[in-house]
Amino acid sequence: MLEIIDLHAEVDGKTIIDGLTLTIQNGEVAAVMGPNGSGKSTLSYVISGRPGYQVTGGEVRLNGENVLTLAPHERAARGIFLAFQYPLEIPGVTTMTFLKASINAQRKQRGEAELSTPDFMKKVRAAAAVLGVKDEMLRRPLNVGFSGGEKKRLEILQMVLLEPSCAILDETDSGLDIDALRIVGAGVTSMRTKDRSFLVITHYQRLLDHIAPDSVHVLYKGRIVKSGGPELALELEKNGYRDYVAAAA
Amino acid sequence: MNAPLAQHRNDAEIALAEQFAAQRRSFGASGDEKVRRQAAFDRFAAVGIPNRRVEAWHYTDLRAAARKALPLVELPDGDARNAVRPRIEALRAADAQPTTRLVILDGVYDADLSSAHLPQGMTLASTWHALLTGDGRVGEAFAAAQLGSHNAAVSLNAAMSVGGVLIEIEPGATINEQIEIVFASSGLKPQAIFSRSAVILGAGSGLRLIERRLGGEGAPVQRNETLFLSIGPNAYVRHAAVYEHAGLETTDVVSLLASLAEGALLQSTTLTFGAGLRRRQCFVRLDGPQAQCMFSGVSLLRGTEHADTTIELEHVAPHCESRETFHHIVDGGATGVFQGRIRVAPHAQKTDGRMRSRAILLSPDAAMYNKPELEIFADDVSCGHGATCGQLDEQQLFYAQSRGLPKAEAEALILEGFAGEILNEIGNEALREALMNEARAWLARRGP
Repeated sequence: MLEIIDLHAEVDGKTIIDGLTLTIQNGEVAAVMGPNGSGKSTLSYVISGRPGYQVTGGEVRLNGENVLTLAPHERAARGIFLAFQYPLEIPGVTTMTFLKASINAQRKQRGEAELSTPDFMKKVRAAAAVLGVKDEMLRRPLNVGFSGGEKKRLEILQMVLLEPSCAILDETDSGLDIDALRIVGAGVTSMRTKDRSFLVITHYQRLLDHIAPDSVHVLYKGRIVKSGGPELALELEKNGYRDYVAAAA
Repeated sequence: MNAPLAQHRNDAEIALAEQFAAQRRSFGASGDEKVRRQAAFDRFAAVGIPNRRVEAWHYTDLRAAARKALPLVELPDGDARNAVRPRIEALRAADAQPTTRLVILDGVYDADLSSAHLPQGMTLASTWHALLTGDGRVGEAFAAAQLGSHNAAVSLNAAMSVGGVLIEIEPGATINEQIEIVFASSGLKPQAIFSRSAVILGAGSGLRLIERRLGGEGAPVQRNETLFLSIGPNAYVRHAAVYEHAGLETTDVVSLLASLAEGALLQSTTLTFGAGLRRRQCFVRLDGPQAQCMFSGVSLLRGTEHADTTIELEHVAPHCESRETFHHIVDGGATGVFQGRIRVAPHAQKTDGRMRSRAILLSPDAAMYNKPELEIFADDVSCGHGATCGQLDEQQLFYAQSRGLPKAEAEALILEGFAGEILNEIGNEALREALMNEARAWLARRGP
């Protein structure tokens, strides 16, 4: 369960998150939608611990533990995963090497034994096959020369392998064609379990056709201004954000 | 161009003149070789030990680093050999594939430490022995190539060197064993080491060559060593070099000279660790059409080390290709230098030349000097250069951390990738992995 309680955060002295409260139960997929500049990506970075984002108030709890005092790698080992809007390239490091280093770094922190190479390979191959990630991509340097769709698929592959308890998807649909969207949607859906929560950040309803949300929340000026069921996303698709923008003005 | 600057001869220059005169009296280079040596010394003496007022040495002041000339090395004896033997044996034990190892100890080829057998198609001569017997091939080869002859360190080397090896590869011979030339210094007493070696490849021949400069701490040493690769028509050299960490009292000047005939290929990748002052200067000329020169290297520096990579690459024939890709990781208060110049002669049309230098500085006291230059006198060419210098990318770092890697491990992984981008150029897997491990060991010493 992810609990965001009266969160305030700023970047370079400018308030971006301004009293945000949101609870995502285990097993729940929560969609957060909002116009440009409403603080969606900032929210994902604050939860995952990106440097440069100052939390000035509030808490973020994962399964009861405040994670805001933890370093990014500790949050990851606790179960927070962020699928980046713009995944980074790491030249010279093959995707396979990066995946193995990530998995074993988390296992080590949790006091678990490292995965053996054969076990690791088996796991990666199985997940990669489902997501249409080719072997050749795994041997290439991480994200280097990958298309937008390939990068996003690789984010989902990482999510599947790291088995987080709370996954944040930051505009995973941006830059995806319809086929890739379907694959990504299926990947996420296959991960839905009763002890895992999802925070899906998106601009558009179309991703939610593939990942059916349990709840939909409108983020504007750094706080949740409306919450509802899946029908809220359809309403936003039709009317846009003008009602909320007008109400706040 | 730099006009010779009038300056006082310092102690080192006076001592070098005396050493040269003494060597001339006691050591019998004769005939043309004697004339060439005198001419080389005169070229050196006209400008003296290079200092920061000479543009090509602006970032690497050899004169300031070597105020005193150390005594010329004595012929290595049993003690010197025994000091180096464990390292040679360790290298031999670690060989993942058949390797012919030739050891140049304190500037002189040492048959006892070297492999006893040579692969077919290859001949070997000790330049020391050649000089004694009046065999002028080495001096002739260097003189004919006219590479780096404007460079004071190369001139001094030509005047003073007695030892080294001359390797010849028969036309059409592909040597399957890798050949490793190990440049070792015993480090038993303060001394100056000069050597020059040449590898001459006949038409259509091929060679995998490793150049390893043994490091280690020891007595202060001044090394000035030259390796010349003469690559015949359609011949190739796949060259990997490792410059091991050497002590802060080491000044190490290495000149790599290379000439490429028509259709020749030189693929060269270097892993450089620091020393008190290290300069590796490469003078490469693409003499024949369709020659290809692929140069890359990564330097890993820390403490107060200084390492300079300088490359002067000349396209004198049309339709040639050259690539220079160099990475530096600079930590502590160390200094990295990259100077690269691609010169395209007027008739070298359709030249394709690219040069790139990137550096990551890991500390506020680390320094990097990048000086890429293009001199293009032909009008139908494609040439470019780029140089960057910065800290570790915060976004990359956060990305890796968000996957569970602690900061130190995330940094090490990204840096390993940065070094790996260069070392991946080495086609031979066992060699590539061995060099990667040396780079990893350096990174592991950074600590959290």
